[in-house]
Parts: sequence; C-alpha cells; structure tokens
Amino acid sequence: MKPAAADSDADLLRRALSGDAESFSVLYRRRHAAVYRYAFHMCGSEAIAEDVTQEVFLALLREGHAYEPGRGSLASYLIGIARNQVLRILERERVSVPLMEEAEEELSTERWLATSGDVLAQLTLQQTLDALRKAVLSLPPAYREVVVLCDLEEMSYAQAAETLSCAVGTVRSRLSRARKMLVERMLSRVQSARCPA
Amino acid sequence: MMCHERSEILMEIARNGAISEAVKQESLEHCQHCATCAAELERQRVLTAGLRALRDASTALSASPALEQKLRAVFEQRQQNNRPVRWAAVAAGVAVIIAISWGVLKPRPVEQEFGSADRVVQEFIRVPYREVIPLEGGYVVRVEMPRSALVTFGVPTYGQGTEMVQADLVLGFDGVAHAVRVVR
Ligand SMILES: [Zn+2]
Repeated sequence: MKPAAADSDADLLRRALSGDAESFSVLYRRRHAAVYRYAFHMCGSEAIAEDVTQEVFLALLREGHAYEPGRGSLASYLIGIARNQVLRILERERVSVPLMEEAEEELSTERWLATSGDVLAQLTLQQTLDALRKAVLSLPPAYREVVVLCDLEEMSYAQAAETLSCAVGTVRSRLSRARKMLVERMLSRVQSARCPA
Repeated sequence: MMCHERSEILMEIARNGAISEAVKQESLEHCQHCATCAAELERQRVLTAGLRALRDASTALSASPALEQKLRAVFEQRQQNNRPVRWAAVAAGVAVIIAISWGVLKPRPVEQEFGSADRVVQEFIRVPYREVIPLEGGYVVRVEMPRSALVTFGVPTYGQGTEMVQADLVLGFDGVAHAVRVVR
C-alpha cells in the first residue's frame, strides 16, 4: 500500500518498521523539520541540529517498536528523543552560547519597547531576531526548552508537558519565568548598548 | 489580586493563550490604572511579536537533503540485515564451531592463504545479532560453505545454489561469528 499524506504517524511508523521504506520517507519528511528546529534553537548550531535529527530517526528505526500511540503523539515522542540527545550534548560539551554582549548592532529601547510596525521593519527585524535568538540560547536549558516548544514550535501546554514529562502548571510557570528573563536580557542588552561601560 | 500575581495572566493575554474572558477583562481594566502592569503587558506583547517573528523566520530551517538519503540507506541496510532471524544466525555461529571441530568446514590460516589471487567480492558485513553480542576480540577464519548458507549470516545471496563458496568469518573468542565476507 502506497503511503499517503492522510496516513497517521502511527500507521506510517508501523509500516516503516515492517520494512516499508516509502512510509519511512513520508514520516521523515513530515516530522524531521520540527526535530531539527528544536535542536537548532536549543543548541544554536546547524551541525548539531543535523546530528541530532539523524540520531533521532536512527533511534526511531532501532527502538520505534517501543512507541505507544496511546501515550502521546509521535511528534512529542520524537522531540522527547531529541531532547535526551540535546541535554546530553549540552551537558557534555557545555555548548558555548553567544553572550548578549557580543551583539554589535544597536537595538534602541524605543524600538524594542515600541509595539508599532517599526519593530518588525526589515532591518530592525533582523536585529531583533539576532538578539532574541541569542537571548533564548542564553536561558538555562529548562527555561529555554519551554520557550522553544511553546512559543517557537507552538505546542500547547499539554503537548509540552507530555514531551517534558512534567505537569501543565510547571510548563506555564516556567514559560512565565523564561519570558521575564528574556525581557530582562533584551532590556539589559539595550541599556548596555546605550551606555557602554 | 496583587500586581505580581498577574504575571502569568498578562503573559497569556499577550500570547493569546487559553484564559477566561472574565479574567482577561479584569486584568485589562487593572492595566488601565496600573502603570507597572501596563508596562509589563506591553513588554510581553513586544516579546510575543519578536518570538513570532523568530518562529516565522525559522520555518524554513531544515536538515540537509543528504540526511534523508543517508537515513534511507541505513533503513535499507537494516532491512537486509534483519531478514535472517537471530536464532538462525546464532545457530550458524554455533554450527561454524561444530563444523570446524568436525572437519566439515576447513579453516585456513588467513596469513598464508590470502594472496593476490584472492578475489574478495564483498566488504565484511556484520551479522544481525551484533548489537547484542559485543566483539571484544577474536580472529578471522576462511571457510567453505554452500552459498545458500550465507543467508544465515545476513549476506544477501544471488540465486539459490548448493555451490560451495569461500568466505571469511570474524569469530569472537567464544566462536560466534560477528562478521562475514564472501571471497569467491
Ligand atoms: Zn498592577
């Protein structure tokens, strides 16, 4: 049977593990980008993100029989495998993350605090994105991952809780704390840019 | 409600999260006469806009096309290796020991026999149970066996056939075969 876009992840996985290469490809194409983005936002490295994506799908081939659809979505299961890889890498290599101070371009307080379209104007948008990406990378991993999952990957709190094996309330409170840290780091970045020591 | 207790509510308002309309309205009204909470809501809104822009800028991020090909190749290799069942491969390993001890298979000293006339037609292929039996040391023996017996080591056979082929086996010290290659 030829795999189709409407096939569920669980069906594709079952057929892939039974030897259907085409089902594996469809499943990979459907799910790999989210795994890659998660690893990239967590580690800030395209090379690590590629390695993690590879390891996640190799693990799926090796241990995919252990996946139980009743216990959560395959998307969460894959991010869960990626998370184990990422946390191991962060622990082992202590991946250096760019400090906010390294950003050279000025981001004015007015622009950062303004809600007008100026913030999203193309040139300023790039500055904002660079600064924000670095700010996310500078968060402790437990806070970084809720921002990545809930705000960048748009997971619901329930999905994030399932992925992180914690309570929904924990996800919400960590996200709130993480966002406060992000605001503080962006503001301190702005202030240091305005008043260089 | 104290101002510091509103932070999660202000965050949910800013990111259009799941929050009851009554709670939302109460906090928005509070923000109209509390500069601290109004500023916090404003910062959260700007942060939401920034994170959404970062999310949008990240949608094109993806692994290289080469990775899919690489994984597909691994998938196909695994399919080949998984064809013979493990017990058959283990049995084959045991059979090698018995066959050698009975003189059915003729092990030949590798150093003496591997000459330039040897035609190695394959790389070594690890037999399918390699993951459960780590190889900590061993030796290589050259044996003759019927071509059909190769399948028990995970070697794809081209055609049936009772013809004898020569193969090199990597044996662990326990005599179990870990890898095999066809010589001719
Ligand atoms: Zn207030």
